[in-house]
Amino acid sequence: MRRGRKRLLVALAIVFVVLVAARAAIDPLVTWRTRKVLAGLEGMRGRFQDVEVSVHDLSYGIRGLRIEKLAPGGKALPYFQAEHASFGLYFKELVRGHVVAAVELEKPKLTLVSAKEQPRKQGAEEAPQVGHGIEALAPFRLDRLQVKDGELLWVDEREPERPELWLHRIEGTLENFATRKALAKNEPTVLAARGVLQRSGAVSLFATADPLAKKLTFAGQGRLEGLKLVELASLVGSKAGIAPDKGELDMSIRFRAVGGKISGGVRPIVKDAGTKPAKEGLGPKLKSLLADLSLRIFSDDVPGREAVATTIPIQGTVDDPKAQAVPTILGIVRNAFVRGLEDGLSGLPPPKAKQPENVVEQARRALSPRREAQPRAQPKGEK
Amino acid sequence: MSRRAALALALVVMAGACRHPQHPTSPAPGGSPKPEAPDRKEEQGVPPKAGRPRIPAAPEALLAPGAVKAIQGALADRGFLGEHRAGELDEPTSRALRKFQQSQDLAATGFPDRETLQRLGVDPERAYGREGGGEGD
Repeated sequence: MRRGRKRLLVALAIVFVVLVAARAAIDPLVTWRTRKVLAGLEGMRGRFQDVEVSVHDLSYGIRGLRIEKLAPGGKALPYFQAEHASFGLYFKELVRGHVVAAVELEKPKLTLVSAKEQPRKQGAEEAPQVGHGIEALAPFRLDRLQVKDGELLWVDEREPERPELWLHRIEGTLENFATRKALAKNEPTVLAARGVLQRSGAVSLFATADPLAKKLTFAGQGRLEGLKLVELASLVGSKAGIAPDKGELDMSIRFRAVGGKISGGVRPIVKDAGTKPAKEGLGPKLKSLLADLSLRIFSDDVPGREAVATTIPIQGTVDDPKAQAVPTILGIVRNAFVRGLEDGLSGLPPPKAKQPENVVEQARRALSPRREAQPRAQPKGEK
Repeated sequence: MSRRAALALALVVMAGACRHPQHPTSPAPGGSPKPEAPDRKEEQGVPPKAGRPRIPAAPEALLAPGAVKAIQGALADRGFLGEHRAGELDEPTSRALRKFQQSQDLAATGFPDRETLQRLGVDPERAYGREGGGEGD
């Protein structure tokens, strides 16, 4: 009896020592593994301050993460950084045999640079088979991804002015992203986000998606309010040769994608806008004069509001065959924003119609103050 | 009434009876029109298909009837929400949600996500209209 108890105590002591040793070893081991993964990133280099692992709540955290892209000349360009990123598994779900995770990113910053390369044209029939790609992954569900105080910087290096779009103070969540139908519980993946564009524009975005559908399937809406147009001077000036020098922009967007075909509408409202030439010369000056004139002609008749409003249809193609649902949604929003901005400023939207419309009909639509008379693009211009 | 006039009247009545109902396209007078609604089709998102989840385009469409009121009640109980339009995910409600989310160290999106609902004491399954469970459960 006494011998049995002694053996039990020895066994418990051994288990305790092993657990303490494992706990002591796990942090250096995970640190080493993290360094190895970052070193293996092709064309990039990464570093971090420290990592922490919690056995108690099955979580992994990394602090001071910084990933840089290596340019051909050896120059390191910022790509992604985060003050703190954590990843945790749900113990209750793990016991049931389901891998369900949550991710939190604090102060992440992503820098995207548009380089000089030709975008690939693609038809809707070539839309990526999203569902098949996701199902190839191990079965798991991302219950919640949370972003706090995030930043997204887009730099257009195709233009000499290197115009930038800066979305910051991003607060966002992505919920219920699963790689198996049973894990998704027949509910959509839901994305909700808010942020500030440049210094003044309040942005909100809501979207839902079915990442397991054969082709891209999602829907959503976004809104931009109170963006001072002068903050977009370099972006517009680089494209159009004229730049806004006053005014504000509000913009709404609604979109949906079914079977890879993307459709929707953007409605920019430009208030009290004016332009100036972005470059020297008679051409830009003349352009600026015409833009100011068209802004006046297309101003709506709401009392007390000098605004230009129109609706621009979005039509869908997916640029990248490897695109996934969330980056595609973000890409659409960005493209629609740029397009809506250009058209809103010029007051000359490219209307869209099922059948070709004559010039009078197009002019009637464009000049009508009624919202129902939405301008349409002409089928002739479609690819 | 002459026979010709009676015939004309009968034709007008018949034509009126054959006309398709006209849906008003302009917003009702007095009501605030939805200022930014570019495409009606897109408002509804993607219609649900057998075995596939619903894909709503707006937060209101994701929530079950009565869910917004329950959220507003929970926010008001905690002192985050003052005057608002009951049953509508309006700007004061969204602002109150953001304040609550900040107080809970959650991402302040202003959207009632599952984690926010749980912390407000509102059942997410009920709020998202999944009380009875769904496929794949």
